[in-house]
Amino acid sequence: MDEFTDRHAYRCLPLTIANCTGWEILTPAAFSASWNGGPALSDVTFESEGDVHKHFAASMFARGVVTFNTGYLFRTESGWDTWVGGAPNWIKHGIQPLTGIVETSWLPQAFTMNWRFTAPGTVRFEQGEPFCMIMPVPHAAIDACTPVIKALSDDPALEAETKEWMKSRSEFVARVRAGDPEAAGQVWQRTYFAGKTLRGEAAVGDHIHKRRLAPPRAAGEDDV
Amino acid sequence: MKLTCYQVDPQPAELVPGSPDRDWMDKFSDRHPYRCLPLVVANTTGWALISPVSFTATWNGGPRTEDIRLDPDDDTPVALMNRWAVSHFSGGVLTFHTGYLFRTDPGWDLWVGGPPNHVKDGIQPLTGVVETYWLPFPFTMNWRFTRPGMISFKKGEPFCFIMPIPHEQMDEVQPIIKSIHEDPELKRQYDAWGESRTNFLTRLDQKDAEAIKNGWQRDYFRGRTPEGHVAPDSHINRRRLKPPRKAEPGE
Repeated sequence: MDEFTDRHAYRCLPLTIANCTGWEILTPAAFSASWNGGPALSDVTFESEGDVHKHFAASMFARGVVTFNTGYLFRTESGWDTWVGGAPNWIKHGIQPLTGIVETSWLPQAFTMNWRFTAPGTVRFEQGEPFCMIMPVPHAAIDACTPVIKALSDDPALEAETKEWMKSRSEFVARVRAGDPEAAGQVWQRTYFAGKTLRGEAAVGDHIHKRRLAPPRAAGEDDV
Repeated sequence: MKLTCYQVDPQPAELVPGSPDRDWMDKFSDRHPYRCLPLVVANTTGWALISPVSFTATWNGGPRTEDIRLDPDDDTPVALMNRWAVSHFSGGVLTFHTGYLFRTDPGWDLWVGGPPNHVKDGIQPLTGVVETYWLPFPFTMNWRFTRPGMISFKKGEPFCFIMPIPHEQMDEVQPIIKSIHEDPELKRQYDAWGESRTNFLTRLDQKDAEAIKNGWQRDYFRGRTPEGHVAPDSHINRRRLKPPRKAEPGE
């Protein structure tokens, strides 16, 4: 995202919010892993300085799966699971993070984080690179959800607003393409970033344009 | 919790409850990845959008939108492909339209990303969290090439996965780091679980008939510990979300 001109990928607020919605677990030491495409545990091999990877990474599940131990047993409050996956929008060629949802409200066992090669080859994890992201998610709220499909024209006020956004956006893109200095100076429409309607009013009271979750802290005497 | 899917396209992409099945998981002997309940629950925790088109995208590694080329495959007409998949953002990013404007209840955002555990070489899904409880504008689903090359999407393949998540509760969470020794009861349960697993694996190694017959330990799947402690009643070992339905007249 840093490599785009003007870092413009960061203007996509949903990406940056996703990047910050959860806690990352970082690779303790650099290593590389190779998969020859075979189905056996021994078909995945590792290399690191002093074999330090043995403390946290292994081939446990076969068929090109790399397993990380996190060193933690996570415990959530009742009613909350933990979504476990890769760091969002972290690009990696040749291997991809698997995703799990774990009932951490009761499970007295640690989960592992797993990645699967997308093709035979070699990948490298650097020291400090996130190998896992955790995000608490509600355990059962989603089961009660029935998506309802509606025509936009069933809701004329929303339809009018949506059409206005679409029109405003197409006009803006057309002006930038035509080299309009004002549009180019404005560079992009900040409406969603600012949480505003097209009339410039705040759309809602709880819009988030920056998220910095609390860093973990050591337990104190009050943390029973 | 409500999720309203407003059609902004007369024929939006098909929206279906997340399916547990994945091709690569089927290929293991005994389909054993399906015993990993967290994977299966993740696969089914959300709704997938299904690609109406088959095409191949080629990225030459360049920074411009023209550096990605799209070619329809099979019986997909060019015009139909162009309606769903475009090169819009540059830098090796491939964009899909969904055909919907999603609207959640206040207090709920949508997590938008790739279908969990859908393995794809050469391109990866980007992830976004969108304030769908007010935004009157449809989002797009984006994928980024992991390196220059060619990738394909097939008609019927999921290209997007949506999952409602709470808008703000995360911001109040304070992770606390504690030694497991400070909680002796949890430590005991943890050790018992580990021992039970080691014993079972040893018995499998020694070709113990009962262990072989069982094949695997089902404790987490059944929502219990080896000592017989049980999970809360709400333990989930199978999830099938509700399929979308059409709005009733006047709803």
